[in-house]
Amino acid sequence: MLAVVLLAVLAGCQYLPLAPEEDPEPAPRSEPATVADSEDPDEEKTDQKTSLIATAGIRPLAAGEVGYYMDIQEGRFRQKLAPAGVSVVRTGDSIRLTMPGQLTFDEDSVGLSPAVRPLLSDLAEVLNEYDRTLIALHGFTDDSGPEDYNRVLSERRAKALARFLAEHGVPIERMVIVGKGETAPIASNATEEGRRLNRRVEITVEPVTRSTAAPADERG
Amino acid sequence: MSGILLLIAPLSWVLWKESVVAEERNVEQVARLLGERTEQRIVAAISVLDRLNNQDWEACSPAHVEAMHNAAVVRPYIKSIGYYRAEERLCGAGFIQTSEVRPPRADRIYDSGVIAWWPGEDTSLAGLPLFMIRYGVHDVAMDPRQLLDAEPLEDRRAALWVEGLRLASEPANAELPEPQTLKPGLTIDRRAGRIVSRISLGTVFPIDIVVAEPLGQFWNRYLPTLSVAGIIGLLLLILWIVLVVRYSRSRFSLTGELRYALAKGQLRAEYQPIIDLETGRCIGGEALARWVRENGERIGPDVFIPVAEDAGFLPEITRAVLDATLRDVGALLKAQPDLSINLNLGPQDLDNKSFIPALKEGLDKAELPPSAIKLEITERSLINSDAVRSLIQMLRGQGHQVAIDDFGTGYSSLSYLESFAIDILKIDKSFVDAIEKEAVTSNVIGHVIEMAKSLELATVAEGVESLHQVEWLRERGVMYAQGYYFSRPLSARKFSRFVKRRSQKVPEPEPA
Repeated sequence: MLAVVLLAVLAGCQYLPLAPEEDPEPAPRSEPATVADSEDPDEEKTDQKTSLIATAGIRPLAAGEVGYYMDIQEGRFRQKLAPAGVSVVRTGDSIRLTMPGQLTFDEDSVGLSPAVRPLLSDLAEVLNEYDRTLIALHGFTDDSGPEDYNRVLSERRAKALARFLAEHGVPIERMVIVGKGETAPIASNATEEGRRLNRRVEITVEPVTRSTAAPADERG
Repeated sequence: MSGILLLIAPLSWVLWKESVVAEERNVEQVARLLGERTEQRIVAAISVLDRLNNQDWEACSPAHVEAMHNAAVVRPYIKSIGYYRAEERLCGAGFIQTSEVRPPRADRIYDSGVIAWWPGEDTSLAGLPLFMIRYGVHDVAMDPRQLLDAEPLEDRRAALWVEGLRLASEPANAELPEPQTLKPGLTIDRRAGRIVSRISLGTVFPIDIVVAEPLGQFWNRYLPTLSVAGIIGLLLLILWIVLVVRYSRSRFSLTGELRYALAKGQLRAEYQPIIDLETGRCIGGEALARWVRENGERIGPDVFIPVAEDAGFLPEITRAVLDATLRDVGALLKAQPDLSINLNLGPQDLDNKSFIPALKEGLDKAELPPSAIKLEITERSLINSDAVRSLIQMLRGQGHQVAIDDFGTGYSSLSYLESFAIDILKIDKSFVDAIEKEAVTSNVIGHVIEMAKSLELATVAEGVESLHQVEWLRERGVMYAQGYYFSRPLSARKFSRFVKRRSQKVPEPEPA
């Protein structure tokens, strides 16, 4: 069940873990997993995820623990991030944090704005505190400019955020990056207000459970 | 009987309402107080967590643990405070250790980040369901029973619900209706014999407090009020009966007494002089009935004439006044043949066949001509036209003059009046009053006077009270007047003296 939810959230994505043998420690130059914009069979993703979990050394949660773990984590996100304008949405056992683009990045830039750094350190702090999860970073743009450019831009932005989190102690093995470009608007691109909402980064936090860690026993 | 009900019913209703409202306030206040205290305790618990989160502790240092300990011991309802890293309880304080309590699902996660687990199986520790709140890196576990403050309850029962979940009651396991089955405020549950109040608050959590009080206590509390009300009601009832009885008795006895007075000849006559405005001489008077009771109390004609009329013996009064007149002033009338006395005839006199013979007999006996007695008939009596017409005819046939009394208060038209052969028009006091005030009705009196002139009737103005009125009336050719300006009604003796004085006098008063 959990896996299905996960797959839905991560549909259309691919885990491409950075080869850990090259650079086992999180380092400024290391790259977290990125996802190509291609369609791959489900099994492949699950396998990738399982290997990710194994690589990161995450202790999976027991089925009975998941609800409590995600409840207290949601409360913590709300306490730390909601006052700064980050929206916190709970769906089943996953938590989605949406960071408005103008809060995080300058126009047409992949550089994090200095103003957002304290907020992102708080985010890193909570992610480190709750370390039994996987983190998917999705970048989005509006529809101005060429599509390819937007996809690359969104991916680079998600990557920039991931790098920041890695610099603040979040293991890159827990993170996956998706550049969605202009493909998933949440508002109309016809207005400036809508475009502003579409330029965003979404962070989806998923619990690592015994079933995701060892999918074969449950999913048959 | 309906009067009794009219008195008692609203009174009882008001008092009952008052009692109910007072009790409603009472029970509602208790319920509200309990609700507010519960809220205060929950708010206090959350602010404890907030303070602990905002201090820069060295995690689990003695100072940190002591702060948690102190916050717990001063609040008996707080059973435990814990410090966490994610799901791991690192240290804490309190009477119980909650590291094993892991409810799978929070009941509330607020935007502020406060998480609440209502007490239940999932939050139970050693059989005690805990009310847990987590905020930031600290949590608190509370005994829900101690969130309900039993102290203001006295002998009532109460229970506390949070989001429809019953947390506590006093006494424990008290049987009380679920809040959603009650409307807010007071409900009287007759079947269970109790009154129930529900209060809902929602500052931190949706809280319902239900307080119940057995109806017996309601009665005990309000029996004094209601009995006092009952006694007052009874007293009012008795008073009312007494008043009714007294009124009807006085009414009956007045009739009886009047009959008695008539039989004993206690009814007297007084005479209000009528003045010739041209000469100032007194040309006679209007005979008015006067009744002095045995105890000396004077009763006005406005009281006893209606009584006599109701009892059907007005003709006897008229007769008594006639007798008194002939007896009192018979000699005066005989000595001054130009003098006359006006006698009032009521509606019942018009049908009285024996009046005219009696009048004739009386006059004959006193050796007086018919011109000595004039008869006044009210304008309103003229409606009974056939009887009045024949009576007027008979009276005039015998040589009496007939006057229309209180003219202007009825509705006689000129032509209607013309159809009655009458001699004198008495203009009602209300028109004379209007002269003084220069009111619109003074135009009406002008018409009345003109009408009288055109019918060649003599006019008498009633109720004249000022020189101004006298002059006004004289200028317009009104012949006669009566009223307090000249004299009030006089006894026979005084009337005789008045007549003598006035018969010598020259016209009076001279216009200034």
